[in-house]
Amino acid sequence: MKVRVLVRLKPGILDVQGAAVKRALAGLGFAEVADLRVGKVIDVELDAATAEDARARVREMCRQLLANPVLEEYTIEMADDLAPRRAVRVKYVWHRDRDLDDLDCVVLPGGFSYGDYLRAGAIAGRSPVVEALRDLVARGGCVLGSCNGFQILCEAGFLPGALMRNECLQYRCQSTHLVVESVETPFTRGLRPGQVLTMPISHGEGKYHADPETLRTLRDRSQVVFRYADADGRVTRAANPNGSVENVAGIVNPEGTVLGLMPHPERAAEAAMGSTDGLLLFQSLLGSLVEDGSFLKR
Amino acid sequence: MTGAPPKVTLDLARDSGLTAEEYDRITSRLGRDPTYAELGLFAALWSEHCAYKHSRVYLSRLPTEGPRVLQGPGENAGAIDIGDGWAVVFKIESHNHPSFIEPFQGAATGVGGILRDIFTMGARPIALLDSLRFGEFDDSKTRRLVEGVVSGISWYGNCFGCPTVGGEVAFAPEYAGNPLVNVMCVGLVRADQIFRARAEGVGNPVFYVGNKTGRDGIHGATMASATFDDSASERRPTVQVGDPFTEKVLLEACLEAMKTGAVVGIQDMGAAGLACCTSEMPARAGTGMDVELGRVPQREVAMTPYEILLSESQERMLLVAVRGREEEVRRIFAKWELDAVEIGRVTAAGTLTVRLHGRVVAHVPVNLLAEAPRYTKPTAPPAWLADRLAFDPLALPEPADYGEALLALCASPGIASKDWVFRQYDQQVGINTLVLPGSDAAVLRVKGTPRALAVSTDGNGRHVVLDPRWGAAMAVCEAARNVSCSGATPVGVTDCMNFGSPERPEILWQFAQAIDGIAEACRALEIPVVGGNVSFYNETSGQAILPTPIIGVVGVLEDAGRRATQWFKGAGHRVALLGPERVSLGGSEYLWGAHRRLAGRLAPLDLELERKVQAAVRAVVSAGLVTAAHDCSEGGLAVALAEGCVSGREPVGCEAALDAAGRADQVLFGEGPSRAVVTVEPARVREFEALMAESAIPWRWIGTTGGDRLALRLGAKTIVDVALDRIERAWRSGFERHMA
Repeated sequence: MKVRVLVRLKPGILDVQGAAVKRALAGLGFAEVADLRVGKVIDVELDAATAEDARARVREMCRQLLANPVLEEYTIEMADDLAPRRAVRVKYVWHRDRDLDDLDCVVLPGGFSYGDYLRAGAIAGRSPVVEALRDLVARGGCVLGSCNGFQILCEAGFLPGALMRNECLQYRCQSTHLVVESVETPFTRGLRPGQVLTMPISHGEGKYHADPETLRTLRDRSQVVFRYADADGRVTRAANPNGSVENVAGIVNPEGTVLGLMPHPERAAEAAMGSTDGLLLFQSLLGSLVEDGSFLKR
Repeated sequence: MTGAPPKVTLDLARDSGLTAEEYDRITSRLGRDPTYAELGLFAALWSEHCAYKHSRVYLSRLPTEGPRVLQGPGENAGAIDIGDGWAVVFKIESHNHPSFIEPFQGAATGVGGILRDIFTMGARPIALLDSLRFGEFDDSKTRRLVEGVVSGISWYGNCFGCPTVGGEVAFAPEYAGNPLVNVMCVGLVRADQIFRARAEGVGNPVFYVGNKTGRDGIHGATMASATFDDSASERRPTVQVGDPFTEKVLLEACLEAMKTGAVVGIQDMGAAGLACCTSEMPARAGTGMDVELGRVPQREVAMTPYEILLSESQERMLLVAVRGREEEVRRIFAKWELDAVEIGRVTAAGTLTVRLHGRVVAHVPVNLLAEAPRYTKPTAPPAWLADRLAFDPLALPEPADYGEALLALCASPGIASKDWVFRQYDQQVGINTLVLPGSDAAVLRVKGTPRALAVSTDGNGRHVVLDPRWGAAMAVCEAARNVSCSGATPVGVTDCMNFGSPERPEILWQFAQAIDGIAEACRALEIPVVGGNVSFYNETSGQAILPTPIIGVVGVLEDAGRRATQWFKGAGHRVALLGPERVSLGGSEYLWGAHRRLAGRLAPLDLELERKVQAAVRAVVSAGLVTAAHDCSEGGLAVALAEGCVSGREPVGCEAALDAAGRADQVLFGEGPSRAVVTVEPARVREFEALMAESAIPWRWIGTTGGDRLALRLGAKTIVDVALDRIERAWRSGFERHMA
C-alpha cells in the first residue's frame, strides 16, 4: 500500500529555506509570490491489511521519526490513490428538491437568493429544500453556509442569531483576518486554535446579532468558530468590518455539523486569488467526510 | 384599451420628437397617416438614441475590422477571438439621463441593460466597469448623486453576481447638470456559440421571455434624445426600476436555452422595448414579424398597444426559436419560473404586423423603421476655442510650495483613492479577479486556459474640450496603455460618446473631431472598435457637458502569471520613466485644481511613439523584468510616482531626479501621452536595459524606491520632500472626506 506524507514547518516557524527560494524567485521576476514555504514529500510503501491500518502505522512513523512535532506538522495522503476523494460526487441541489438522502454534505454558497428583497436569506430560508436539509442535519450530515448561505441558515433556524445591515450601512467588499476559536468541528479540525486566516468578505448584511443569553451559550459551548481579528489575531473593534457583536464571523450548531460564516472561504482557496486559507476549511471538511469517515453517517 | 387612440397629426408627431420632414417621409412611404401605435414605433426607432441619426455618418469612419474580430458594431455587443476557442464579448453604454432623474434606479438599470447586451450574445458576464462623471463637491447635489449612483451600481451588480472591477470617477462643474453613468460589461463565450439578434427562418416562433410589461420607462429612448430643462425631476415616472434577481434568473434561463440549439436569435428589450426588437430583429435578417400584443405578459391593466410596444420594463428578451422546439424553450423558462410566451411568428413579408386581440394596430415595413434618416448637420469649432488655446499656463505663478501643491493634487477627488466607491462593489464574485480595482487595469483570468483579460476605461473631458481630436485619441492611448502596463496586448475597443446637442454646430464639430481622433489612434494601435454607444443631448438649460468620449479597452495576457500592477513593491528598486519628457499644463488636473483654469494646449501625441512605448512596456512586463508598471496620466509624473508609493498595501518611498529643463510645475504636474513609470530590481537592470535598447524609445532612469518619503529633485534642487504618511492620508481621504 502506498502512502504519501507531506511534512512542513508549522505556521509561524521561520522557514529560512522558503524565504531564500522566495527571494530567488523574485530575482527571476516572479515578484507576485506573496508567500512560499518548503516542505518534504515522503512516499512510503508498506504492507497493511486496510487503508486505516496503513494510515495508523504511518501516523506512528510521523510521530516517532518523520516529523519533528515541535517544529513540523504533517498530512497523510492515502495513495490508493485518494481513491475515496476521487469518488466524491458533487452535484447541484435545486431549491424545490425535497430529498437529499444521497448526500452527506450541502454547501450553501454566497449570492443574493431571491434578490434578498425581503431580508437577506429570508425567502430561501423557507424554500422547499430547507425541510430536506433539516433531515440531512438530523441524520448527522454537514452543512457549510458562507455569506448568503450563513444568512439562510440563520433565517431557517439552523443557527441562532441574525445578520443585520452592516453598521456602516454600506456594502463592504474587502479582505479580512479571522482568528480560529473552535477546532472541534469537521470544518476546522485541520486548524489550530488562535490561527489567523485571511479571507475576503463581500456583503451588505453581515452584522451578526444575538441576544446576550445566546452569546453566552455560544461561548460556553465553543460554538463561535471565527472572529474578525487583526493580522496578529487580536480581536479589536478596528478589525470588525461590519459591526458584528463580539466580532463574530462564523458559528456552528451545538453538534458542530452546521457552520455559517460571512467571509468567503472559496475566494481564498487558490494562491492566484491571494490566499489559500479558505482551502483549509474544505480540506478539513473533506478529511472529515471521506478520509476517516468520522462524519460519514450514512 | 380605454377609449380610442388619439388621431395622429403633424403636431402630435412633433410632440413625440419627429420633425416635419421625418413625418412627411413616413406618410409618403406608408401612403397614409400612421396609426397612433405606428407613430410610437417611428418616434422611438427614429429617435437619436436608437437610430444614431446625427452620428452614423461619422461612426462609419471608425476601424471595425481585424483578424480577431468575430462581431463588429451592429449587434448587441462586439466579440473578439482570444484563442483556445474562447471569445470576449464587450460593450459600453450610457445611462446618463435616467441616472440624473433617479440616480439609484437609473444607474442600476444601466448595469442591467449592459449585462443583457452581453448575455444575449450567449456570453456569461464576468466583469463590469463604470465611468462616472459628476459636478464638483461644492455643488450640493453632487454628494447625493454620487451616493445614489454608486449604491445603484453596487446593488444591481452585486445582486446579479457580476464583479465590478474598474472604471473611473471624475468631477467637473460642466457635469453638474448632467452626470455621466457609462457602464461597460465584459463576458466570455465559446467562439462558435455566439448568438445574434436576428429573426431568421420564416415560420419560426417569436417568444417573449422574462419580466412582465408595465408602463415604466415609456419614452426612455425619446427622453435620451432631448435636453433637460429644470423640470427634469418631474420626468420621474418614465424611469425604469431594476430587478437584478430576475435578471440573474433570466441569464441562467437564456444560457440554458441557447445550449439546446432551439434558439435562433435573441435580443434584449432595451431602449424602446418591444418596438425596437420586433423591427430590428427582422430587419437584420431580411424577414418580417407578426406579433399579437394581447399575449404579452402584462403587469398593469388596460395597457394600450402604444404602451406595450414602447414600455422599457427591464429584464425582458425577445427570442426567436426553432419551429417545432417550442416546448423545450417553454420548459427551460418554466424551470426558472419566468414567462416565456409565444407572441408571434417570423414572416417573409418584410413588414412588422402588430395586432391587439387580432386587430391590426400597426403594419409597417421593417426597413422603413430600421432605416431612419441620417443627417449631416453643420459643424463649426466653438468661437471660444482659439482664446482658450492661446492661454499660456506658464504665465501663471509657480506654487509657493511644491510639496503642498502635490498633496493638494493627491487629495483632489478626481485623483484621490476611490476605495470608498470600489469597496461597495463585489470585486471578486465568480473568482476570476487576479488584479482588483486600484491598478491601471483590472485583470481577470480565463478559467481553463493560461490566459487572462485586462480591462480599463478612460476619458478626459478637459483634454477633449481643448482638443477634441487629439484629446479623444489620447483617451484611446491611455486606456490601451493601462492595459499594456498590466502586461496585456490590447485587442479591442468599445466607445461611449457623451456629448451635448448635435444640433449645435460646435457640439457636432467636437463629436466629428473626436471620432477622427479615435479612428486614428485605433488604426495606429491596431485595435478595432467593435461596439459602443452615442449619448447626445447631455445638456441642461443650454449648458453642455465637457465632450467626453469614454474608451473601454480589452487586452489579452497570454500568461496570466506574467502581469504587473502599479504600486511599488519594495525598497531599492530602480525607477525608470518610459516615453517622452514633453508635457503640458494645458487642460491638466493641476491647472484646474490650483488655478481653476481650463485652457492651454495639450502636449503633442505621436501615435507611432505611443505604439512603441506600449510594446516596450508589454515586453518588459512579460519578460518579468519589472516589479511595477504605472501609466502617467492625470496629475503628471509627480502624481504617478506618488500613486506608485501609496496605492499598494504597504507604502514604499521614492527618490527621483526629474527633467531639469522645464519649469518645475510643468515637469511635475504637466500631462502628456505615451509615458509610463516602471520599477526594476537591481539584479534585472542589465536585462531591462538590453530590452529597452531594442525598443528604440526614449527612456531613462529617474530614481530609486525606498524610505518613508517621496523626494523629487530638479537638477541639484530638491523641490518636493514629503513624508509618505502625509501623501497617503491626502490620497486616501481626498475623495472619502466629501462623502463622510
